[in-house]
Amino acid sequence: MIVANAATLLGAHSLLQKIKTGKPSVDVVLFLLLRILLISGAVILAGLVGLLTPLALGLAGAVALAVLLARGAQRSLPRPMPLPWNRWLVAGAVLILIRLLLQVWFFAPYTDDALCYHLPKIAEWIRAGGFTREMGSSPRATLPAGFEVVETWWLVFLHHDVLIEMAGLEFLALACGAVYALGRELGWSPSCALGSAILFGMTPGVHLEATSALNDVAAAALVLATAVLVVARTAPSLILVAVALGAGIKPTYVYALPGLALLYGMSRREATLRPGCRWAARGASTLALLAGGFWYARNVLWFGNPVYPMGTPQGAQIQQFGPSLSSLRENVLALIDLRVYDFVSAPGALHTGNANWGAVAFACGFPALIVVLREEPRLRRLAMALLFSLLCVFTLVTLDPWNVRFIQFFPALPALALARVATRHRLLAGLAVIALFLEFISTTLPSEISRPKLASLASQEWSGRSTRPAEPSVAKGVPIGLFSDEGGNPYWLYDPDFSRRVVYLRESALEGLLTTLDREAVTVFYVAVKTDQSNPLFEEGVRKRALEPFRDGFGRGYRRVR
Amino acid sequence: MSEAALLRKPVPPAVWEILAALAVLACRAWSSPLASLWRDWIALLCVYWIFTVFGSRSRTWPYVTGVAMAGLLALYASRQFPLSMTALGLTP
Repeated sequence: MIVANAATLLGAHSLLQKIKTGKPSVDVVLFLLLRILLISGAVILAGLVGLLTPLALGLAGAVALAVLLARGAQRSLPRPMPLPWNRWLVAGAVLILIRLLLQVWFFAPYTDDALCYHLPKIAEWIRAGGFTREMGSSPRATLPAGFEVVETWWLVFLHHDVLIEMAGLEFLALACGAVYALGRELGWSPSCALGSAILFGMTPGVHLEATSALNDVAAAALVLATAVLVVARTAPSLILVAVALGAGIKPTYVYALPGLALLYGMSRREATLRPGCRWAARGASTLALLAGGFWYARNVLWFGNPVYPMGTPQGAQIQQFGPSLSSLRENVLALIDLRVYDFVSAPGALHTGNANWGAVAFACGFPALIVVLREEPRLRRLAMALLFSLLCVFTLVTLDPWNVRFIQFFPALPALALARVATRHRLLAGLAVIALFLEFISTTLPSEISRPKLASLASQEWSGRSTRPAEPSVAKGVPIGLFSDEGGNPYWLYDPDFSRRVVYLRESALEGLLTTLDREAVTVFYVAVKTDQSNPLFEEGVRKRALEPFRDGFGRGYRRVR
Repeated sequence: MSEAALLRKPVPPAVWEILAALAVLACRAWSSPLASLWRDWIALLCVYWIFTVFGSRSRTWPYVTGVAMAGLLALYASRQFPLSMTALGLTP
């Protein structure tokens, strides 16, 4: 893992030398994008050829590192120099980073969305050492998986999920780097820009979701990275790198694109920065198009529909397909009348009922935004673009208690404005610090980790740490079945070290079910509650004495009786 | 100055800002109960916006801004912070 990570870091740095803009803050964003691009490319390629194993990726990393070192890539590494930032800001950033790393270490995947459809496919890939057709029982499993690819990178070497949240941290770093670069592009001092990045990174929704194995922070990070590349007037081929990666992460990124296109249109009169090597820039954008477009191409091959299951009756249960003005109205009113106050629940990764924009944005950021918008035309342009992106996203998603997750790029605006205003007046800086402190406290734990769950996590060894209610009643390593249309959190069944095989049962007749159980050597299977209530299959199995019902701490299921 | 010349003279941006803030404020007053307007986030921001148009260069501006931010912080924290404390198990 160390060698492969060193290879991607040095590789990204080496590529950056060919396409850098000469603006350090923008180049940092490009560097982070290139690293994500190299990781995505490596995992997708390894997944396709069945070499998604620690040995294969470690060896490939070692070879790449040796080649880079032989070519002297290390000679262009930046030399240590005095930090241009206020030392208190640096101390705050280090404190936040240390706590994030502790959260990565301590948290196990806990949100239903991740456990239900983001992670089961990764577990299948890790177990098989390559991409699999089996991705779990949820209809959402076929949605783009650009973020899951980076999570896979952090799982594959250890064959364990203890570091899975590092993927979220990569994107949180990208998001904060992008906010920093936006501050610098607006002509602000390094300390002011760093203040903006810290304020944005501590936005409760952004901060908590970064360690939750959900992909919305990744999509928000790509929106902000695209905005930076547009504002800095980098070459279209470099902007395309961010666009393609974003599209491969989540369609909500695509929903936000009209705002970024508007920003591009508003900035088009400014001179474009030419990359040092056009071929390198085009190569990077081609690789990004392949990585981002992979999921859509796969869906065309498998289902004949690039955005499957959208556009099908199954997709209609997931999300609306196409714009709706009534959705726009409902979403905007829910945001400004209710969610922005964050009083429905404590901050959580799923944003249930809340915007989770936090005290900094609500109390200090938006008043500051009024002030700064009046003074700075370039921030006005950015604000118009991000507001338009927000409205586009809201036009394309149905009102539900969780969808403010899709617009997490927006709190970047109050964060930028507050840092700007706070550098001018100590009184206002003091208020910002108080609000930030409240956010620091409230982002210690997500609301989804209840106190019993917290106690359970704390009592477990790191190697077996899981948020499941109890271990399944099957010996470790023995295959287990799951009968579920959606829900049931299948990821829990794999165990944190992916030592257990999970067999997804989809049969509609008892005979077929029993045949599958016997063929796959499955003696026990669990049933998601919704399925259990609607399926007479199991009653027939019990009546014929082929199945025996049970209930344990994990859930409800059946044992195969012979 | 003739009436035609007066009509041709562009409206200062500050006037547009005040009109916009008043329009939003009126919408909020129309759509929300008047009794709860004092704790309506949008309405408070509109009032602050109007003040900023007039007083952004005055000596009192940082203090009024501080009061506005502190008020909003109190409004936010009074309802949100107890939830966070409960979630963390830090309530008595």
